[in-house]
Amino acid sequence: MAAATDTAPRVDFTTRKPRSPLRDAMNQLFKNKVAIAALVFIVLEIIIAIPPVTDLIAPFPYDRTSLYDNLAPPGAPYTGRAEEYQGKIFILGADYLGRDLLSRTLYGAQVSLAVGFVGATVSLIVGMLIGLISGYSRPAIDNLLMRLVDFLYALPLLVFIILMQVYFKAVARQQSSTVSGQFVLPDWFGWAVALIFGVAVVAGVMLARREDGGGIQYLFIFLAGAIVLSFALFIVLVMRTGRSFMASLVEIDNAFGGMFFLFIALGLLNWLGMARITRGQVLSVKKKEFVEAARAIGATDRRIISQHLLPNILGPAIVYETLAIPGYIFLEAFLSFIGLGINPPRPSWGNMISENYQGLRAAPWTVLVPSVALTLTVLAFNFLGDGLRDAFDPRLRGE
Amino acid sequence: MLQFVIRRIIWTIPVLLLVTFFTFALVRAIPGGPFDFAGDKSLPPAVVKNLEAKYHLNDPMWMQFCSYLIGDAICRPEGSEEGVSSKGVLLGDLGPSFRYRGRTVNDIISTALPISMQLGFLAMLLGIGIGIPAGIIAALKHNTPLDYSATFIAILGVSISNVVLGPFLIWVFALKLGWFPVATWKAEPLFSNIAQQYIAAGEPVPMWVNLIPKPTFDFFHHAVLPVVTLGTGLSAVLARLTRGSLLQVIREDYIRTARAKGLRERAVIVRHALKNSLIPVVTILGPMFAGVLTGTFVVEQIFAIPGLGRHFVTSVGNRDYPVVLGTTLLYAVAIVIANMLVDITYAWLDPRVRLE
Amino acid sequence: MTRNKWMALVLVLVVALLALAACAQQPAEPEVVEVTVVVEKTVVVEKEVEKVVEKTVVVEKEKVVEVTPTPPPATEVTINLNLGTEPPTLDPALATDSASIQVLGDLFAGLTWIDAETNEPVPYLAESWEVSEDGTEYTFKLRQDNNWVKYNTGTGEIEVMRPVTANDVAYGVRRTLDPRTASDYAYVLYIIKGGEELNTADVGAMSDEEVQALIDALGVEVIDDYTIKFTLADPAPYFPSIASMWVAFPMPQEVIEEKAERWIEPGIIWTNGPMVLSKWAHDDSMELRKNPHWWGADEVQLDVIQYVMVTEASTAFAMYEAGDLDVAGVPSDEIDRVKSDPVLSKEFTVTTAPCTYYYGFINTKAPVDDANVRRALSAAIDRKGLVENVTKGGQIPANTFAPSMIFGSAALDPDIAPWALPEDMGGTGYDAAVEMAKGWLADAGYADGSELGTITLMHNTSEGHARIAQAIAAMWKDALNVDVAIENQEWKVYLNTIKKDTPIEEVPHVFRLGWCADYPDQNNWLNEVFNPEIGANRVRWSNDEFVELMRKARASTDPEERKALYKRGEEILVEEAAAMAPIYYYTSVSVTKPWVTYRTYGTVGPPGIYTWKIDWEAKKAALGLQ
Repeated sequence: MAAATDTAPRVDFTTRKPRSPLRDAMNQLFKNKVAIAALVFIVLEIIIAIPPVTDLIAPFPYDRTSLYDNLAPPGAPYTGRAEEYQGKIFILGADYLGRDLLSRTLYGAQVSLAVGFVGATVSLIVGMLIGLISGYSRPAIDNLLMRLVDFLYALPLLVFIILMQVYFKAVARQQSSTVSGQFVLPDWFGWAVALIFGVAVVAGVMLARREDGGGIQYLFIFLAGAIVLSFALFIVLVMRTGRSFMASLVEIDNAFGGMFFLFIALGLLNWLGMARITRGQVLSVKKKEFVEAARAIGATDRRIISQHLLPNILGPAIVYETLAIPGYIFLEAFLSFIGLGINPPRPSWGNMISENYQGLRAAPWTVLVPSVALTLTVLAFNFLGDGLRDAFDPRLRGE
Repeated sequence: MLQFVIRRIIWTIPVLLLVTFFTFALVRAIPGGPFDFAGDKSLPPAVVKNLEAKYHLNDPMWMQFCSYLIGDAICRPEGSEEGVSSKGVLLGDLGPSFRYRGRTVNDIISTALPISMQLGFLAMLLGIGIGIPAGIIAALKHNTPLDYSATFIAILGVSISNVVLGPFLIWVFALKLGWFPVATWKAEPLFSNIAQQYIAAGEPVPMWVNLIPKPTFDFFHHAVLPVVTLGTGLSAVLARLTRGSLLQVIREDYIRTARAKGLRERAVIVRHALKNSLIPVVTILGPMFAGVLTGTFVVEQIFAIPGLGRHFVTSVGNRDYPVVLGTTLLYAVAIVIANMLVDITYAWLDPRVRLE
Repeated sequence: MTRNKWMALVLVLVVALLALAACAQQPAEPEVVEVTVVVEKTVVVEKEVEKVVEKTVVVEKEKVVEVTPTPPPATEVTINLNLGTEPPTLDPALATDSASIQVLGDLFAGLTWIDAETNEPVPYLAESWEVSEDGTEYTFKLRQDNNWVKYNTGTGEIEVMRPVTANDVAYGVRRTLDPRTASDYAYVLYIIKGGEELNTADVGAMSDEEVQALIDALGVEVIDDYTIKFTLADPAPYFPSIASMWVAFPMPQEVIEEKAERWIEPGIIWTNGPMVLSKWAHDDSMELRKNPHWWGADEVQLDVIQYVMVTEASTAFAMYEAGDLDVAGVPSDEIDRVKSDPVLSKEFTVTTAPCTYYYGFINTKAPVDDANVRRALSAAIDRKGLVENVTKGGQIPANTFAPSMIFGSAALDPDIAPWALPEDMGGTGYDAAVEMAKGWLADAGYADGSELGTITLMHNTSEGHARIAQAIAAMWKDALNVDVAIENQEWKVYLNTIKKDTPIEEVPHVFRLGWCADYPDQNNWLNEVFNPEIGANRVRWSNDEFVELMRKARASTDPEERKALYKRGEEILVEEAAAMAPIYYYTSVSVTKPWVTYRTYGTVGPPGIYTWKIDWEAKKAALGLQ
């Protein structure tokens, strides 16, 4: 506490060799033990969620049912008939179809983490962009955008989702009946995507490290570009085999294990709150003295936004976003439940919780296991988010 | 200020119109109609035709929309007075329910909305009452064990789905400990004798009579578990946001100035820092209020509370078009008002924000 | 201290809600609202306060209004039940769902009553009935001591309006069949001569005289005030069962015509049954009171039936455990716990229900267009494993479409599809069934199930169906190595998808549905559901022999002949053509408090709560009521 109040002023008045904001932030971040622990946890989780790794460490396939082991408590042995699982035990118990909860939770990470990341990314990018434009532009544009947000808030979600489900699935079914043969991705596609992302990250980091006018936003912009580019490449590849654009969307959906349409739904539905938050902050910050001062000395809009507005918006934005992650994960469960998204028996934490909650009293482990996984993950995201926020806040330097 | 409000209200009209139009069209675009099946039995086409004729579903789309909006008097040509008539949304007639024959949407809303509002209001009270102070404390004790545990509890609050938390609270506090009743909502209207008059006359009780509950022990006793279930998530979000934005503000120059002036810490926090840091919190409070007051499906479902939340969901399944439209419109109004209040609050919290 | 806190909270709440009251009326008329919201807020509030004052004064002068006490006075024998959902209507002509029907069964008295034990129709409003020799004319004699009654919501008294006559019954039937009533369930009365013609008439294009002519042509004749004759289109031995149904209840013409759709509200509705409707808080609760003027009132023990409408099964079960309910269903996840609990296990009962859960095959979609493939898939379902481990409610593995309590059913007869039954029920058992299934697959030309390609299995969105679908998909995979993709759709979308005229590429290979008896006769099952010429024919099959069997069975009056015809029908449907795969017969799983000394389980038709008995002293003692 005391440290916070008396060291902070010194930073502002000391003339130092200017440093890259990114490196500063990284240095800050690495001092924060809780944030680093959270980072390690998340990285580990991501590694576990890589399909070959999951296959390796999960004791059972996620869809291995063993009816007579239904609701087996943690530590119970497998009593089914299949040879290859004899002698194995359900370390964390089994669900209502006798499927191993540990394995399902591990596989569930694949879907839930993907949903969390995609939901957060889309919401951050679209929401902050709209919010920035709205808050920074003329009142007429601001008004128009915010009335659009009001409108979208009010549209009935359920109707929308059912329509999407009907439409997307109809498209998928039509395509699968008109297009014969399976589409196979060329081997080099994975490498190409890796290359695109690699270039984007390197370029983004280099720009972000530049001492003048740099900023973390370049990293985001480049990453967004990489995503768009990869999709474009994919669609071109599919369409070259004579398929229509819709067919290539269906192929993308297949490549994502049925989650692509789900991601679109998530993206369409989740940026509203972010946009409102960003706009609120911009409205307040843009009239502050330092922004006025920057404008007075002739700073460009771009510079004002990246140097002065973004750092002030990032705090609430990160907090809001990390809190929204469980929301995305539950939304995924709901969307999948209604038939838009992954199909059973593929697990996600959200659908594990919602299909087991009725057994809370009879077999608490069935709810507890995915809930704990979810809570730990969200906790890690929050601590990491807090750490990042602190790290990027210039006023907290040297604390 | 007044000018701002008036302008916003004018702007509300196209928003609501668009919402009505899109909902009207979207809900009719989903496969399945309100009357094509009873259970899983296909109804004889003649019966379906009769029902559709009764509710004017065979008229051209523009005519249906027009008469929903401004009433039969203008939109429906003479000679088709048969069936259900509509005065139009503009005159406050939200139409009949297709599913609950004999009830109108106004009826449904006026019995269900007050209950959702009572629940939502108490939950917001709890959410704000716990969330904001907790956020302040966490920010002041930044990166201490207290801060970390506040974060931990808040994350538990958002990560535990209400479908798990609700039954869990019932299990522990209603069944094991027996402190609270399991479920249901016991709101006697404060003006119960007025309500009784309407009941005796076989008339629906108007909404304002139902709105304010008699503050009996029974009411609060039944309210505790659902309010806590709903309020926990809200307070968690508010606590985290308050903490985050307060941290940002607390290190601004003017706070330092205020401290340097020798103001007491408490005055600094409350008068200077908090007010300025509340913008993100207030931004979220708006839609939160609108959402919670118009009904929350899960909590109402788990605690068997006869609020409006279920109608948002079941009306879609039943293809009860007027109920879908009515509830959506209600929510739209709530959102528009809430966001307007939020924008007004901005100007109050931070005088630099001008209402334009 | 705590009281002060409460008071403070209350105060805040009241103030805030008062403020909200101003906005609260807006939503109903949003367009007007905006103008008043902020500017006129205070004005609105004041107005309301004025109103309040006025009305309060009036009430105090009258002093008649009894404030209804929240806990029922312990002098009234009360049973607390969960209705599960808000009944969409209490209009007998319009009711379709079990909640409405359960309440209607206590409020109204129809011509006959389905006995809870035997499932046979017994005299009720009709003292007796006669059937003509050719089986097409039924004459019912009504009892003369039944009256319409109305509950006065102001005074709490039950008023006698007038006697129930044959005209009320005739009016009820005509009203149900009148297309302008738009009754969903009118089709069960199509057996009455002229019923179908009337109900399917395009009244919009007809003159009033033409409609009246159709109504007059209906086979319903009022002989005198207490005698009514029905003329049927076909001989239907099950007609007395249909006469018990809500669509054929007597209905009070004058109230319906005066109050239109609001006639079903308490204080307005006239009823003629053992109970009256005294309170209906929509979506929340409902209260029925004993009708002391009913002919059998002496035998009715319950003074009050108190319903709550709790949708969430686990909540209702918790309320039961807390003593708020006397009876509750058991969620499937709780069944194991209940069975092993020393107290709850004694209160636990499983009863059969007249419903069947089945999977339908789209008989024209490759590869399930081959009966061998369909039969193989049907046989590869481990029905015993499914009911014991997944559904857990004591459901019975099904080898036929109609369950055993239906007239003409061949349920559990091992002559039909023995591979569907476990060994202890006379079947072959699952292991043998899998071998047979492999054989049929080979006959169809598939050495291995994977050669079928991916089979799409679709169900409507529901947790329970999802579980069953996943279990069965795993069985097909394990037993036959068939790859299954499971999809689900929202209910009405789903029903549209599996319609018989949906393009073949958009339908799944396999879909799930269930069927429950409207009346306990095979005609309601095999004929009305699976006859490709009259039913919905979602399975898209055709079978001339089946159609012929159904026609013969409908025209016959000889019970033994009908049974034989229906048995052959089941054999074709389930085994030879394997157009569908019956999975299990439903049960209802419930717990009942020990003080409920007599209860029914409502198999076909309403359960008749009025017949229930409770040990009131024991209930009061257990719950500490005064």
